[in-house]
Amino acid sequence: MHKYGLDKPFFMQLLDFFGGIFTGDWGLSINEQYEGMQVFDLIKVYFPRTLEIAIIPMIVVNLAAAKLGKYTALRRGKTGDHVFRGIALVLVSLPAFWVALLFQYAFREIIPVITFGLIDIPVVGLYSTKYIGRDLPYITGFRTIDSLLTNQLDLFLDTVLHLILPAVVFFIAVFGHMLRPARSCMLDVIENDYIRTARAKGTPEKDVTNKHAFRNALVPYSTFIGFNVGYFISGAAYIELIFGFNGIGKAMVTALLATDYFMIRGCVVIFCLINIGVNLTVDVMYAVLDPRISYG
Amino acid sequence: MTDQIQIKDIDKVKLIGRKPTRSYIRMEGDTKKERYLRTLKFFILPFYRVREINRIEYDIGKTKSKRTFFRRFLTPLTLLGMGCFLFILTCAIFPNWASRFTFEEIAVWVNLEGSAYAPPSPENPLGTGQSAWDILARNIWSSRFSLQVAFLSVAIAFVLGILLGIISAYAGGWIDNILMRIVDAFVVFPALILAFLFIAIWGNKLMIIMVALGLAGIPAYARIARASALQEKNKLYVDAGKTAGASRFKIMFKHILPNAWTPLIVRVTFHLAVATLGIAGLSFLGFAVSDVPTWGWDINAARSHMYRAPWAMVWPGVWISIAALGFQLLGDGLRDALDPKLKVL
Repeated sequence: MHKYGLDKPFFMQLLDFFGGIFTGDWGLSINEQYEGMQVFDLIKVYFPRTLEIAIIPMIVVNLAAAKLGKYTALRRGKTGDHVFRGIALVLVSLPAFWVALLFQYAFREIIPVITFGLIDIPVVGLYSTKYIGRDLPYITGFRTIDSLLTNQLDLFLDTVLHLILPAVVFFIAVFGHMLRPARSCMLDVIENDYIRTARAKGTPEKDVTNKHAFRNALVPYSTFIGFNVGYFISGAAYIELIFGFNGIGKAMVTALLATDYFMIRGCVVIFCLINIGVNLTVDVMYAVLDPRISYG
Repeated sequence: MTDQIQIKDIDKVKLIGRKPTRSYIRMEGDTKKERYLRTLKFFILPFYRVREINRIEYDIGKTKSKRTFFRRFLTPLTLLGMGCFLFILTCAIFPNWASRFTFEEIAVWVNLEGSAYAPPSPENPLGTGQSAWDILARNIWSSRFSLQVAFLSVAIAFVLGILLGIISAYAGGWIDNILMRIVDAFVVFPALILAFLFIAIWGNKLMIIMVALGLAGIPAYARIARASALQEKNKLYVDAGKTAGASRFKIMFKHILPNAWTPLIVRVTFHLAVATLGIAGLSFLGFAVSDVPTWGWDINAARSHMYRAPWAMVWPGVWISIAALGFQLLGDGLRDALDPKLKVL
């Protein structure tokens, strides 16, 4: 009781919690596996791993969806539009975990066979079994960066190979959700009168789409970037569980199943921090994209 | 003159008859032969239309009768969505009739005599899964429970969201402020995190997951309902209702609500797709009771035997995809038919 501060009054516990959030004392994990370890230390290990898979696909998917949204909206009703709309529709309705499992099966059983072993991507785990004894000091927490900093090129390549499939599945899981709003935002803009005016006064078509239409379409589109947090969390949970990647999503699911309250609280706090960060970025982006919006 | 009519020729298109259908449309200056050819193509080629004529027809159709709703609704994609939806609905309502096995024969606790994870055979067309249940029958029974949870969670979000949205729009002032801040508080939580929190607090039950997914869906409905109710609020019929002495409740739910239906209905179909996927995902992660068959739980169970028996993992996913795709396509079709200006959300 005393160890977890449960003998204190309720308000003192709340104060302890708020004090702990800022000083790095996020409580002790009560899971048997990590008995007595600081939650903050666990998150410091797990969180960079998740970021390592997710950060590149999350950036690429937003840019690609914006670009393709522009492309499809400008070709409304033509073949390219139909193809990408169809792809987006199918991707939205496929469950991400199932896609991950299919990829895992395909890259382990089918693709190595039909390419005669040329493409042989590892489908599970953080690194290959032969690197188990390898000593990797904790510098930044990102395994790729750490292995480069300690000059272990073979381990770096191995880690990158293991990152490919989760990253691809991450991309697929989010792409459809971002492409549909991107297209409709762009469609809303190109129906406006000022686009017609811009064409009428002889602006080159490239400038009409890129400067007049696309920049204005980005303002509503950036709202949808805020929704990325939800996809990030659910994607992290499914993908890490399937690819055996000990990241924050898997840690959270394990903590939930073991009712490890302090770990759950730590994960919720970290996701809330991400949420706040992303929404703040989106708010700043509004002001950058649309000069009429200003704060204070 | 070819089928491709130039934009500048639009004025020449003449519409004959009060209610224009495709066969009544003719172009000024085209010969009889071309017209017949077009009509012939219309009947022979599936979904053949001349684009410009179609557009004019569409503009007129928007202001005309309800029959045009069905005409705009019945596109090939929507029909496909309808098919998917009816398929899943049939599975959900008549599982005893659709599969050769009863609920007891596919339950987890029963160990049948056949072998587990057996490949497809005449007796089990899609193979067997854990504890030797037939995968086809299991999928059919799963669709009943998955759809139940999805429908109920959507119903929770629908009712509460509309109540919040319309009351806050009609009342305005500080009530509006308070209710909308409550809704904003729910926006912060992604559905999965809310479900996790609820599970952590109240335990691992299907009911809890349902309520969590329902609550996570409230903000969308509340905002849509509020936006369209705010537009309706200032119209004349509301004033007329007030003058006639209708109560606030009656104005809100008998006068304003039926006029604010459209975007809400469209949202329901999209939310059904999201809820189906969400429940499948949560049950995949293990947050569902194992004695109620759900697709996600089956995939999770088959995961450890994936390389030996891929069929046990693939088919439940196909069922999930059919359900979600059906709802998405229906939503798209409804949106295009009811209110083409509505945004994708």
